[in-house]
Amino acid sequence: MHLVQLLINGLVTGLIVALPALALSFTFAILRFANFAIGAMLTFGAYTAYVLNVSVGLPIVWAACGAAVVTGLVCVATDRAVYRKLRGRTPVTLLVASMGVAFFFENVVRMVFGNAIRGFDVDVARPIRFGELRVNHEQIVTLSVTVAALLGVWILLTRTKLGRAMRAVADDPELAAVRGVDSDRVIAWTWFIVGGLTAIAAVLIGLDGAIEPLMGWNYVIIVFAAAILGGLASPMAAVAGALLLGVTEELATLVLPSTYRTGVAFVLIALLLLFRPWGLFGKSRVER
Amino acid sequence: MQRLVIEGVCAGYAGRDIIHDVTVDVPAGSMVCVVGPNGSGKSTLMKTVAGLLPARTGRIAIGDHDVTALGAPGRARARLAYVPQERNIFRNMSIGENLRTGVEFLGIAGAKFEERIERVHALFPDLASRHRDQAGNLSGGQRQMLAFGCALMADPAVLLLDEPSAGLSPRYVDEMFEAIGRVHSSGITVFMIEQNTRKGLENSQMGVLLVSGQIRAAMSAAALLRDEQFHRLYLGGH
Repeated sequence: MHLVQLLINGLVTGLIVALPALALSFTFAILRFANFAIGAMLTFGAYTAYVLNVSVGLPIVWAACGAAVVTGLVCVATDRAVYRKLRGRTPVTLLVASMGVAFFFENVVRMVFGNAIRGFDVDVARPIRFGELRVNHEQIVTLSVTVAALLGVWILLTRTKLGRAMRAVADDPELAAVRGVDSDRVIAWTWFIVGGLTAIAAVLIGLDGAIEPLMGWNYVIIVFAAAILGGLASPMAAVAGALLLGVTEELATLVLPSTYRTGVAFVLIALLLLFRPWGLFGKSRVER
Repeated sequence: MQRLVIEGVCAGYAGRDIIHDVTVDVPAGSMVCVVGPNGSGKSTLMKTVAGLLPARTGRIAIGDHDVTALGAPGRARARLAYVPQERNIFRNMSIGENLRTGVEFLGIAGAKFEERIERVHALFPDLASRHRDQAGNLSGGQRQMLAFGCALMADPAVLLLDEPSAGLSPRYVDEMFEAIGRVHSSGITVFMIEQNTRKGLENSQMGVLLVSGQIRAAMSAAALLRDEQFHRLYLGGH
């Protein structure tokens, strides 16, 4: 296939992973644990959007917005019910708790909707052709939605009071408290944003493929890989990690059968963890 | 200008008290320095006053405002500013953003940011031209000044300083104490702990000696410096 076509496909694959990877590194930076439930939240977000889109009959854009808000609120509620009681415990305790949360949400989804594969109610559009290049409608949607969301997050982090409070807590929770930052509020907002970003990504995944109870599972490892590639504690680097992962996977199909695509990503992660365990972009952060 | 009252405070970690029944009265507008050997509980005392460590018993008040039940954010809003000894700046933020964090989370309506930043610049001209630099790249002395500057951005009534001279070169130590003196004379109550016993007491009005978590002496700083036994034990003098 054409090299440029592969690059485009890889970038879009990476962009889909970018938002949940960003969400994952947010929870890691602010709450100091690896949120294993990120996959289950993807599934939950996709089904919420499905209900709003297919059962309620909202256009997909509004369904996506609704799902973002609902998933955000559910994340905040989960924090109150589960993680809040475990604050200050070891990261492993919280990781295990998030596994429990993942099983809970996945089984709730399975109980309500069964195992059938579903899809959003959207018109199928013909791919757009530029000479030899084919660009899907979904790819353009993914590109524009993800870029807009990333821009929003960047403005939030660098230009707003809430963003600075989030960075302050991520940098040093004790000092943030001394400066008057109410960490419970910052944590609640973080969960809301994490839920919202995850749900938006879930809609993009659902548009591209199918909605089924295990859809989140298929993304857990790749999302973790992208976040680790960027360096877990620096949110924007997770985005770069996701893009690099997507492009590498696609380019690997030039020399390897495409069934090995995911394997290539893991070789990349293994190499990185061996030689740059702080992440590709982790260096500019000052740890002392 | 506010008085800081610490009354019968016990506090520590994991159920074991490190400071026992500590009572210190810091009069409004005064400068009080706590000295004592390593491990005497000075830092624990400071953290308890700042609200990072809960007091198991006793009472802490700023003026008439009892802040015992408040955590660190609540005490910051009650105009208590605290400069920790280490980890006292946000390393991954710029210098300008650090200064901003000194005031923006305190819920003060109409805080004059520019005016406050001018005051910090007047005190530490080094910081003025470097707002965009990442704070984590500053040297130890510059970090200490930035941390001090951040605390001043809050326009505090009471300033808590945890070993302001720790890790500073002699040139910076003098500069730091001069800055503390100027801030104090502008009407801020200062309560500090200091391992540089002589410097700390020379610059303060009152001295408090803390040993094994208990107050052993509280008198004018000059009197404490002259006290023969204290001299022998803690200043290594003749």
